[in-house]
Amino acid sequence: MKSPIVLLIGFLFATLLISCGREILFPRTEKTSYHSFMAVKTACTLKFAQAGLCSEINWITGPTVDQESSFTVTFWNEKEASSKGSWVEPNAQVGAFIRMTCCGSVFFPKVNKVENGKYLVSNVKFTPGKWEVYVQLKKGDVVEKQFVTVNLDD
Amino acid sequence: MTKAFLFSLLVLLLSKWSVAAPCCGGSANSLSLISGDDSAQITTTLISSQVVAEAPVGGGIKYRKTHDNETTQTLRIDAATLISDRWQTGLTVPVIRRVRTRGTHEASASGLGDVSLHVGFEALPDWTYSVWRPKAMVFITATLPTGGSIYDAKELYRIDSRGRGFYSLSAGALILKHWGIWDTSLVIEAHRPFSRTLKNEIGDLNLKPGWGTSGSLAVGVTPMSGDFRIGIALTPSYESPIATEGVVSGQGEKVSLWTSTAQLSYLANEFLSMSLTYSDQTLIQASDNSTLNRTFAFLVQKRWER
Repeated sequence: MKSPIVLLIGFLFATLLISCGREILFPRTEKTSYHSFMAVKTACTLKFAQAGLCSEINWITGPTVDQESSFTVTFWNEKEASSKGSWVEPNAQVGAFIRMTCCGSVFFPKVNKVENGKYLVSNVKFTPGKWEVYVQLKKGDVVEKQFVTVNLDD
Repeated sequence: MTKAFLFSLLVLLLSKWSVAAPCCGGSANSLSLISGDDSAQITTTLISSQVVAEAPVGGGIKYRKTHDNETTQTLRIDAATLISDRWQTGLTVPVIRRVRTRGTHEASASGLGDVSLHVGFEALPDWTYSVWRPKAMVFITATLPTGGSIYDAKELYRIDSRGRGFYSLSAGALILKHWGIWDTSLVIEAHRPFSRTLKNEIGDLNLKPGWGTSGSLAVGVTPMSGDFRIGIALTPSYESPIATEGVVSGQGEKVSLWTSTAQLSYLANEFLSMSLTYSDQTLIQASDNSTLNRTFAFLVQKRWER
């Protein structure tokens, strides 16, 4: 007769033990970083057909709304190399901008060349919401642009 | 006479009440018309506003998380003067401080908001009392993008945007009527922001805003024809989507906002009055694509006799 009561008390005690304490919440930025990581790690995510190049972005900071985000963009020839290298310098001006999907707001971060085929995009300021991160190649009137999506909703 | 003074406070607040986040919501109208028998007036308003929610694209409401605190304090000076018997002109200068805290991160900025100028004309005077005929005024307002906008902002959370970022012209009408201790007013307005171009080394971005409109319907009562007046108002506003061309072509989303307001006014003497106002943009959950605020405002108005 006592055993069901002992079992019940034991169950309640065990429940109490595992339910106590602070819930471990992952920072939102980590979740979004993961989201973006998944988005860009497939081969040739950003394909510039006219230039014959593939590109990939790798986040250095962020993407997050709580501080300036930054990432690198690397370019390689799809047939001769991979995202590991060797990188190829595009025969075009490299640019980047971000666009808020809901509102069409567009912002221009800083773009600096690090080495041949690799650029640093910094001063990227997001606000909460869904964004498109664009990389652009421009040579004269020929403009190619590709983007990855970033979800920074709360 | 007393009612007219208290009533003019309502008119001022109603027409200026779009103090949503400077980046997104709110309407472009700006108005501080002299609606009583005065030659000039200066109004000082202290506004404290907190973003409590967002109205996503497509409607609904999404409350801000507790760790995300965004507030705006505004000191606004409205000055208006008659330039003839029925014509008047005025100026509005807001100074805005915005602070946003998210967890351990904080950003703040302060500075001038969008300055506006208006010209008003008393189209339908109330020289003689009529049971049915209202008093009506028409106005044109020019808004200057002195406050910067999200397009110009440099700080975290774009906290240094304090305006819409466009030169804008607005035209509208104010209709007033009171019966005994009761009064009502209607403001209707349409505005047209002008396009602008953002220059960048990778190309130009043309921003093409569309038409916007706003209105305000208010009802008030002055118990026992005394020095206090209680009023409520509903202020909807609408902004067309902003299109972009150039570096990237696309279309934003429309913005609509519904603001509910309650107001208590007090007439200290014939030429000095004050008012306390609470406004809430979450009561009517029909807004779209905008931040939603709860706002307290206190204003003092000094008038000069005609």
